[in-house]
Amino acid sequence: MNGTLLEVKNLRVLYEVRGTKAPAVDGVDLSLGAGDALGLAGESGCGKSTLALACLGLLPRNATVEGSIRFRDTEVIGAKPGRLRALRWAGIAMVFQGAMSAFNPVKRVGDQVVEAILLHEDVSRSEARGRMRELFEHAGIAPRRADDYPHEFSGGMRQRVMIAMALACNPPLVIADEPTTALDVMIQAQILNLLAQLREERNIALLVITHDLSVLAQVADRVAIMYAGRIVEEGSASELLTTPRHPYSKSLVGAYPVVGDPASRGVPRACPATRPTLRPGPLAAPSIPAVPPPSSPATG
Amino acid sequence: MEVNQGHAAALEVRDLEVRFASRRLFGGSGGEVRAVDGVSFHVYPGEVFCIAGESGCGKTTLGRALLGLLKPHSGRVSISGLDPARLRGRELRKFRRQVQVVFQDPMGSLNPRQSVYEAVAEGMRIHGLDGDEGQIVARALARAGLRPPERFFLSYPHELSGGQRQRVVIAAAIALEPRVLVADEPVSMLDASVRGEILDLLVKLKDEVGMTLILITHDLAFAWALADRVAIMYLGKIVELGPAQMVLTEPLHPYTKSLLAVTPEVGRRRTHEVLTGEPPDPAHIPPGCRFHPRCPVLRWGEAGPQEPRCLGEVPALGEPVPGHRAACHVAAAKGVRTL
Repeated sequence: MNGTLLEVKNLRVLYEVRGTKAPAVDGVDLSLGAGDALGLAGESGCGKSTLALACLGLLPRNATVEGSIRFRDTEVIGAKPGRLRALRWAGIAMVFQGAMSAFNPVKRVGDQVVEAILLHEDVSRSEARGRMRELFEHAGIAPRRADDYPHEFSGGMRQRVMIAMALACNPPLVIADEPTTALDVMIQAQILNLLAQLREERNIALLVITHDLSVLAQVADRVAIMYAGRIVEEGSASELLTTPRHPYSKSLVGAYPVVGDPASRGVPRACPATRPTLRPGPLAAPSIPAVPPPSSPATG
Repeated sequence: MEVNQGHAAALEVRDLEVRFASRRLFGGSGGEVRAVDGVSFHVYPGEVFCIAGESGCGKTTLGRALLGLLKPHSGRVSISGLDPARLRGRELRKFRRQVQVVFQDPMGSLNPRQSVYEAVAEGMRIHGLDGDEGQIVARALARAGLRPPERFFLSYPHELSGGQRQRVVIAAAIALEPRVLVADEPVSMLDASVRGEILDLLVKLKDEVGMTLILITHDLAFAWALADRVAIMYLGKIVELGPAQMVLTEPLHPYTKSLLAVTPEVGRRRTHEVLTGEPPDPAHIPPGCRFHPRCPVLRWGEAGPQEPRCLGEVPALGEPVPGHRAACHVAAAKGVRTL
């Protein structure tokens, strides 16, 4: 770790629902150094995507944010729109799950990447085009496909374009929200390999958000498990994913059978937790047996 | 490992072929896509049989042909002696009662304007089932884990969570007491914790109702957890078939090996090679072994004297190891694992 890139301190995000405020993220601390790869896992509704959107200042209007998110020396919370615009792409780029909806369907993909470069950097169009072709090659896409439209790509190729686009302005941090969820196993493996390779080549820090723990085993060095707006366990990927300590992490890890392991023949162990719903007021303690107090997350 | 091997098969598929006319953008003569290309297998009563492969391998098309939802080009399906493609009217309806399906997306299977009660009762009405409707609906919902059932009668799909919706779909299927339940990626849209519950439910119901379960999935880890036997499909053909224990721990076909290598595993970083490229287009099936353009055994020159056959001759689904079938020239020649 050479210097902290992203530092989230006591982050709370509350959504206003029917006049009352419901916390979606409830006191989260995270830190990410340059070149780090952190995986943030949890089920739908646990607040992981809200956390990602908060880092980019992209939360909807009915959200209240408390605490601090520092990216290098910029405080994201309460930053002016101009400041946020400079931060996005060039500082933090994001890869979304549905690559189809992230592109403009009536513009060639190459032009969309060039546009992102021109908006953020003072370079000529031909320089930007050159960089776009280079990025395509890095992401495993033939540069001639830059003139194709988004619908002409398969799901896996579209996700590659998405990744090339995220790298357009050489961001030191890429947030990938469910980067492989809609993809087939073989393509998923290719995309995860690509992310790991780009991280190594360009020393990019990765924050990978997913509900699928098996994805994190491939790309993350550290893993944080989120439940009901809080991080319940954080540790190195190799330790946490093999010997989780928190009962919730245990049940999540147990939900993935391992081929060849006699112990996972038979139905995967069901998670005993009832999922919390977003509701106003202080969050009830997650209803899992033996939850340690949220102020002292188990360290794996 | 195999269940009820001695008994008559609950389901039999022989030389099944399903073709689609491939569409061209501006008319013209499109070719034909062979989505299922000569598939044969048996499933025994009470068995969990898993059909696995990448998207586009034809596993869902095969499932639809089993249900009689599309007409095969040739070959036959037989479920308790009945072939849906040869049935009409009342007979077809009788067949459909015996073979029910659970699809991936419960929201797409449920009518958003129908209450849970109506969704479960509809099938019974169509099939003219005797008995107290309210009681049967309540029992089916309770069996599917929606308890107390009365609480859900008047709920609408949008008021339920994804897992609850899938339970409603399952309740509607089992209310008819089918003999075969086809589950096509039943959990791939659900959260990890809910997945276990739904799979648990399917297996429990299989024993309670006395059904045979056909599980269609791309996830070999779930095949490992649940299946008695596994069939691996590639481009419309079964390339490997046998007891889960054998297919998934000692695969004979290099494709199965590659699939296993990319099957995500919590707690272990993958070290194996990942197949490049996407599955080839079923409109242009390569000659010889259809896996040969991506085959690692060929690429590393380990096919030896079999290489010309890989390129030019379609391998049969042989039985290189007793009880364990594979369509691979190299495996057939060696009688052992290919990699």
